[in-house]
Amino acid sequence: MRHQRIFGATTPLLLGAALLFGGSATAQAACGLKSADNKIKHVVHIQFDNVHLRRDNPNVPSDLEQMPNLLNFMQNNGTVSGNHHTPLISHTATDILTVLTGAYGDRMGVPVANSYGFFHSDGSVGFSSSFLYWTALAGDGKPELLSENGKIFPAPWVPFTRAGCDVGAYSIANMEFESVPGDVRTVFGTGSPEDIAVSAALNLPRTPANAPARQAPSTDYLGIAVHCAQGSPLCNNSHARTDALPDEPGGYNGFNALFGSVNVAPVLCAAAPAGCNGSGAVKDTDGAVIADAYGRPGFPNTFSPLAKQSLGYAATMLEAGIPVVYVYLADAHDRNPLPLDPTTNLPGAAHAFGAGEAEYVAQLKAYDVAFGKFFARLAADGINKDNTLFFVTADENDHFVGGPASPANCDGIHVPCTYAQIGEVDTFLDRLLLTQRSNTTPFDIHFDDAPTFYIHGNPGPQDPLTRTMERDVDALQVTNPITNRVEKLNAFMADRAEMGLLHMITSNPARSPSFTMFGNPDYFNETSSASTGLGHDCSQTPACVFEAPGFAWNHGDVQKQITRTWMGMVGPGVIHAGRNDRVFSDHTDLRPTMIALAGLKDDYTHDGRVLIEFLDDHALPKSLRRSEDFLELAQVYKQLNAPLGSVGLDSLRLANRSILGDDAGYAKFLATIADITTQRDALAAEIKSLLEAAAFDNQPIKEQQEDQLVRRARGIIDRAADLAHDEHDRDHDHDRH
Amino acid sequence: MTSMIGITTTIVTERTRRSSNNDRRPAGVAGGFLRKHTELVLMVSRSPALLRRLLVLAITSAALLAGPGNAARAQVSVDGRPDAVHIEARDATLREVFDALQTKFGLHYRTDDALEKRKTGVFDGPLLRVTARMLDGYDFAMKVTPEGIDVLVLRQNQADSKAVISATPVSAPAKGSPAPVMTAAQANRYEREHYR
Repeated sequence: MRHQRIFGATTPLLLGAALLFGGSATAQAACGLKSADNKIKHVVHIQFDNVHLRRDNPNVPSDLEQMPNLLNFMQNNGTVSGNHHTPLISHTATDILTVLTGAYGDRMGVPVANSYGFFHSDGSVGFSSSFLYWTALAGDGKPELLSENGKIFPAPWVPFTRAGCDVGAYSIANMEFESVPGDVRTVFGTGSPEDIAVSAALNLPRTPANAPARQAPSTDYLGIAVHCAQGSPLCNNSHARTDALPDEPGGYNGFNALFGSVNVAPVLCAAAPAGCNGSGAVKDTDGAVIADAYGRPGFPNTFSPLAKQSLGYAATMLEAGIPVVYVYLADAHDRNPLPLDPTTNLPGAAHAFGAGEAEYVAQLKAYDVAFGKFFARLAADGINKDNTLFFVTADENDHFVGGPASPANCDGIHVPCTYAQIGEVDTFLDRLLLTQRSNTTPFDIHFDDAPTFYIHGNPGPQDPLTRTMERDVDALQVTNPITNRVEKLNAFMADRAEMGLLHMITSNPARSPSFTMFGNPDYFNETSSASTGLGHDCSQTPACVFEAPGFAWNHGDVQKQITRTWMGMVGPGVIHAGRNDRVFSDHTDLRPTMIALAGLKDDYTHDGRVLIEFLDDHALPKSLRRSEDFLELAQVYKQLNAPLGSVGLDSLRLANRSILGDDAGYAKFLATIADITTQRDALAAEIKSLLEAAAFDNQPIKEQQEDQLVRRARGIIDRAADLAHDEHDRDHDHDRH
Repeated sequence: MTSMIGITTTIVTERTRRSSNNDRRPAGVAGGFLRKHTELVLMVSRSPALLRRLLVLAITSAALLAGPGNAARAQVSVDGRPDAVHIEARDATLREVFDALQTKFGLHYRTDDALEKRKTGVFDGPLLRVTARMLDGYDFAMKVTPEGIDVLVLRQNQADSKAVISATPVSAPAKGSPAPVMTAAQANRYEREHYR
């Protein structure tokens, strides 16, 4: 199938001339990063999906240990922390958007992922994807990236483009198109030629012969974008569109962007032909054209790019003069790419690996090779640790669901591991509720190991429907088909009050779940189509609990195995601390740290703070140098405000016990948690403003101020801990009786 | 060299302006010099009068782009001028015919259809009309631009369908449509197909 570009073969010639006319071989805009001593010329953000620093099997080297080209680069030239955390819920879209913005989900609109429910005005429930282009409207009619003011949250590329720096994005969440035709309509317009062509392809009958044509719009438009600085030659051509950010604080006019391979690749290849073949297709780090499963050059698949593809694209973007590049790399523990099924001509069934399986090890080896070539290529281009800031992180860790590895001493490297059982345990919660609790209350959930519940009719927290549902969900027990043990599904329950404290309640009340069950991480919870059981109890087929091969790595949940991930930083201003786990951090901290090092400023207050423990004093404003006051305040702030900080975890324990207790106790909890949240929010706001002023406005924190704020923070931290501890003791004593 | 760059830059600028999202005005309504005077969106019609008027524009534009040479494939022969096209096809796919027209006359076409419908026969007439005849049975739209004729072929329409869609919006692009609302199961399937 062809999907011809509107302006055809003359485009490269025109672009080449335009770029030459721009007067620069690399078509670079006048990028004005303002780092200390102007050392930072490039920023490279590498976002992994579920690549682990820690070992999942003590005998098998971890993902990163099997990628020494990357791990050694980070540890020898910068800092790697394994004490880095996700927000809640701990799922891809929420995690990446938190990284990109430095804000928790309550402020950027997506605390539940990778899709989320919302209540219609009649109390029914719909779902919307968490992956949409930055300015898209979600299914609830509100901006997907919904700020606390009901506007579109400020976009992460803005400080860079305003500073004259083009920003490239490859598969990173929501900075590029995520969905067709929706995002094409958001940017190009409904009824635009692009929309018509894309929609026509997507409306083709789902036949094997049509599979390539139906994939083509994704290949052409998804996953790749360049947000240009004003006047950038890269966007002075027919491929560019207005980079519309209607809600951006301070306005955002006169900026253009390129969306999709059909528009980015011609521009990149004119500016950096070495990264492309002769036909204007970008190559991976092995020199092969990046193409979809049917051979069409462009975005390779549905958001599962390999390291060689993402890094190949990143290198070409950098070589084209784009100084700021965000890329995403798929995990390595799932088969990738999935071979085409000869019958359907579509990718075959998903296949998950256990640690040390030969194919998993081979995929990690390929990733390592790709990183080796990437760093060597950049070094040859003069792009290196001395002039480039590298940020690397993984959205979340995850929990393996399966039986033991065989043989017991396998290490994956010398002795491959095999697994007799691999796969998450799936449940039908509505049918379990019908069978075990005779509960037929209509509800929906976001399918997950931490399902958010949406009870139809949207009853309040103290409504008997909600209270009964929470208790019934907590009472569910199933037999694990892997271990044959009977176990509970619920681990921790959070109602709306607790979700508020955990930064999971957005400015649109319709997005607020009735409650969340942070569950047993072995289970992936679903509902049958009716979400009421519809009379199909668990004596009927299909089974209410079954092991599902294909997916074996659960996340979304609250357990440390999932929420404790890692981050690495390399570049001017980053100290060479190697592996250092002494500092608690979470995803909100990466953005302010990156922006501070780059000498820029966002238009909003971050929820995170600059990680000065890992930065050279010379790279910091004077207000942060050797600032014990900043450090002490920042560290206590994280325990106060981070979902995985001590107030967050303690309050979750308290919430779980209170929700499942009697109504009087629950009412008392609601008053208590509301008070704690109000105090916490007010104090966190005070502290954030001081931390931001110190980091971005060179206003040092005064010791007296710091002492007083730390004392107040510790008061809240201690109060939450005491409440959780008291409740625990009471419950424990009760059990003994 | 200087002159060539100057010309090139001008063209690029015009294209950018025309396709910019800054321009939210309805297409054809004071949409700038280029849109006003040289771009015409054809709501494909059976009207001979309209076709004749459009033909003049098409010939004028296409003639500027028609280059030398005839790269017709083995089963397709294309000859003539834009106002008097001569096509001989023998069991050629529509795509092969269009490729030949593209090579000979600069006709641009976009489609997500395989264009596998086969054509046999001799076709004579103005380029616009011949193209329309070739597309009998398809939903399509044509646009005359300074670069030539741009054809958007959607798909083979239903037996009694006469539906035609314009290649460019006839009103301002409607932006801000909410994302589709899914059920929980659809959302889950979408997530898992989305992989991340």
